[in-house]
Amino acid sequence: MEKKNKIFSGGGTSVLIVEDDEFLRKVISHKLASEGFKVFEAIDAQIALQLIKKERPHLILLDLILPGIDGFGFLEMIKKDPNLGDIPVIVLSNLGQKEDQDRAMAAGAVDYLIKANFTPAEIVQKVRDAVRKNYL
Amino acid sequence: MIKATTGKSNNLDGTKAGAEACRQALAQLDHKADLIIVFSTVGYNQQEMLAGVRSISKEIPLVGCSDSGEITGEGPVSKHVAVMALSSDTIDFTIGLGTGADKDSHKAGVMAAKEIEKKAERETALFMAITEGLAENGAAIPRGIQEVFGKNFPIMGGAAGDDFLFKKTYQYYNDRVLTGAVIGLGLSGKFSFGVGVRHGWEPVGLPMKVTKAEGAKLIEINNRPALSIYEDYFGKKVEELIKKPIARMAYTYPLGMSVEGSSELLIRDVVIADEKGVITCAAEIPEGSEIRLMLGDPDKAIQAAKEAAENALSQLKGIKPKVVFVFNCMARSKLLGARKEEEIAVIQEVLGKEVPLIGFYTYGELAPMAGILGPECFSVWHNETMALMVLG
Amino acid sequence: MERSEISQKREKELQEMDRVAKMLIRRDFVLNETREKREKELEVLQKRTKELEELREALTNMLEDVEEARRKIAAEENKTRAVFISLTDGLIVFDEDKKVTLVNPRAEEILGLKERQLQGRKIKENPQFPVLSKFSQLIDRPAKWTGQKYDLNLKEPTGQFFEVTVTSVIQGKEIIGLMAILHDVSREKQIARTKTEFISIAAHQLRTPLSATKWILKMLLDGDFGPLTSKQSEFATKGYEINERMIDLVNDLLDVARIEEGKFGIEFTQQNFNEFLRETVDSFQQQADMKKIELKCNIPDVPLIAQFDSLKLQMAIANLIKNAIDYTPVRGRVRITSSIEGNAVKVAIKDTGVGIPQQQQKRIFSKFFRGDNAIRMQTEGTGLGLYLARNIVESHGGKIWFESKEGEGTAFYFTIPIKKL
Repeated sequence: MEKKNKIFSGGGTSVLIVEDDEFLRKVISHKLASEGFKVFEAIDAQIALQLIKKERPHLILLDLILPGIDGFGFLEMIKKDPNLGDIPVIVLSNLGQKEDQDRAMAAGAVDYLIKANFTPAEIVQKVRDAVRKNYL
Repeated sequence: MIKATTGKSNNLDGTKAGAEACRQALAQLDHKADLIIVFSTVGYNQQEMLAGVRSISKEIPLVGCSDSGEITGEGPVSKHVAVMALSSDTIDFTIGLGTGADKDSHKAGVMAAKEIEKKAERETALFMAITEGLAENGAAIPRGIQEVFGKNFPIMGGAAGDDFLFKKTYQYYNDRVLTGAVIGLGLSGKFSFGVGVRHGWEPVGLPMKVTKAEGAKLIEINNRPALSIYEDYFGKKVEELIKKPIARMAYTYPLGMSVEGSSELLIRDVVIADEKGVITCAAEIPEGSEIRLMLGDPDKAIQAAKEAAENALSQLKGIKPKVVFVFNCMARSKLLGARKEEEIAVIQEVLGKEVPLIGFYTYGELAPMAGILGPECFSVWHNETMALMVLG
Repeated sequence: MERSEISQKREKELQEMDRVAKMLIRRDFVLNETREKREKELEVLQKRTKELEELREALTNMLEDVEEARRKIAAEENKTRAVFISLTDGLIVFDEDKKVTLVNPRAEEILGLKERQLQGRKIKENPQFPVLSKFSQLIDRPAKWTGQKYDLNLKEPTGQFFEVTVTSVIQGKEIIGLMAILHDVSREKQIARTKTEFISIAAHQLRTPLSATKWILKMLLDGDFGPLTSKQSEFATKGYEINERMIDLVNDLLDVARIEEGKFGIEFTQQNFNEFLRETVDSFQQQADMKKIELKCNIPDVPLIAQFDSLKLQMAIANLIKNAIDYTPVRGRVRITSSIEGNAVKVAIKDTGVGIPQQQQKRIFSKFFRGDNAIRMQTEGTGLGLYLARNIVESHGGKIWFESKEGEGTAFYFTIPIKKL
């Protein structure tokens, strides 16, 4: 119950944002934080992996275009890991091709959002929906 | 000037053949033709063939007959039409017609001669006759002519043939096809001529006597039926001799009779035989004549032809031959077989290969005996003989 | 006495000579007959020889003619063969039994086999020849084996793509065989792929700054950075709207590109059409309210189960409704109705807006077209909305059309066939 409240109030829910564009990362972090989420930031897959292992976020917001291993590779990687595979991942990318969406969903993402089509507020709502769905 | 050209054709169509042959001859003649001579196989419809010739020669006087082979300067052929076109400013050609030679040969001869005598403008110097080949009595024809022109008148000619069938022969007079006719051609004017008359046959066996005869019919020889002679000689039965026209068997084995004035025997062809053993000859053999069976030899025959040509040439007395007429007995073609070309070649060797030549294989020849001209000239009926005439 | 003896002897001798003569004549006669016969035979032989000669000549002439004809044919054949060999497309000819008869050099190159290895055989799978195997899979179809175009993807072994066309070989009126033409479309494929990649990258590159601007302005407008003055709010809103337009344009462009690529596919799912339509209309309620436009729905309450792509169809309908609202002045009316016509559902979107000018009605559905009056209205529009809408409707097997009078209003209609599973 406590956990639930925590989640609802956003106080206890942590989100990892994996995004290489500094500005976008900052904006989304700000929004999430202002909504009560604990936010972890990673600029590439490597750092993201370290953070996941250390902090175990409740949800991952994942961009697809990343330096080094791209989003797909990272997604496939963590989904294979039994410890990490259960963390819900929302893909947040400007790649819009249907093939990309299908691939991401097939790889285990719970949602796919095109950045340009969603406001920060809408994104936060999607995060809340995904967390609720996954942890309740 | 005497100009002559020849043409021949064996086109399957008779009309076309006649036209082609005539066209060939006229095409080469630079002058207007005065006379057309036609010799043809009976293989063509005679009317059609003659019409074909006349379609080209039109109104030019025409004489000729059917034959057992045609002769031109290119050699002997068969189943053809041969045409000669003659043109001369020194010779007049007069033609005349006598009919009924199958019934009365003498009368036919007289008829033809009389017509020529009447029509000729100048005096006739030479008589050429083309006669029915199966006449009643061929020998009577020259006699009929002599009645009109005189006993020593030179007569040359040949009897029409029918490709060895011995059925029916034809004679041509302008545009008419006739049978039993005597066609006369009178030559008058300024020209030279020579003749040659030789056969080359030789007697074999003992002489025999004609014990019974009627004109051309031999009834008994040595008091036996005439046909028995051939029975003896050939070993063939009477029936065979009658059936297969004896003419065919016997044309190289004729009968020869000695005559005054000739070193060679005068030959008489045997034409038909009947059941009674009576042999009908091409011309008469008078009762009481001595006859012998004659045997032909190819080499001798060719030699005879050569001598005939030489005789004619000598009679021209140095004048160049301008045209040659050959009346060649069909028996000679049978005797010589594949060598008949040699016979003509040898004549041409003597007289000149380029000299225009026309002739045919006859069932009889008319010619002066032994080829003698002049006051001693006596023209009679021959068989198996090479009779040739040269104009110059 | 002697004389008669001599003459008697003589007589006997003469008789003997006569007998001999008769014998000789007989022999001569026989000889002559034989000779005659021989000569006749010789004549026949000569005639026959002449005929044979003539025949030989005729045959020689004929042979020459035949030879001439043969040479011509050979020359033609050589020409044809030259064409066959030089053809830059692969060509395989089959007989009526699907056995290979001819393989041109280019085909040999593609399949990795020589003509003589294939002649007289059917095309079969062979692990040694992967290209041949792929080709055989392609042509081993139960469908009518001619007139078809197939895609042969040889990306695996050789990195090439081929378009295979199969047609019948006809002689006169008979089909005497089949031929497969292998046309290299690797370059085209490559170009298409490059285009796709380009578009994908371009979209991504365009969207990145656009989404940054969108988020910033939205957060600003939401007051995340503190309250705004009304003026600040006004201009920030304007900036946001302009930015949204850019995002729309990029999205539309991507869709158009996909249509051109042939990748704009329809995914049919079975849904309640009426409910879907109502939801879509409802989503515009707010927008209509802002302009005081009466947004009326005339959609039957009955569920209408049909097969359609809700995502795409929503895009199309949204375009139509948005247009209706945008081009209708304040206090106008927009009405949406749905009815059944035959075995299709017909939707009408009517407005009391500015209408479409007569001369421009023809170009309404073309890309980037905007009516002059629309531009004058200063409304936002990419000019791609109707192009996409038409594509979507037609991809469903439906029709789209409109009626419009300038100054009075416009009515857009479209049908969607009710596909049942």
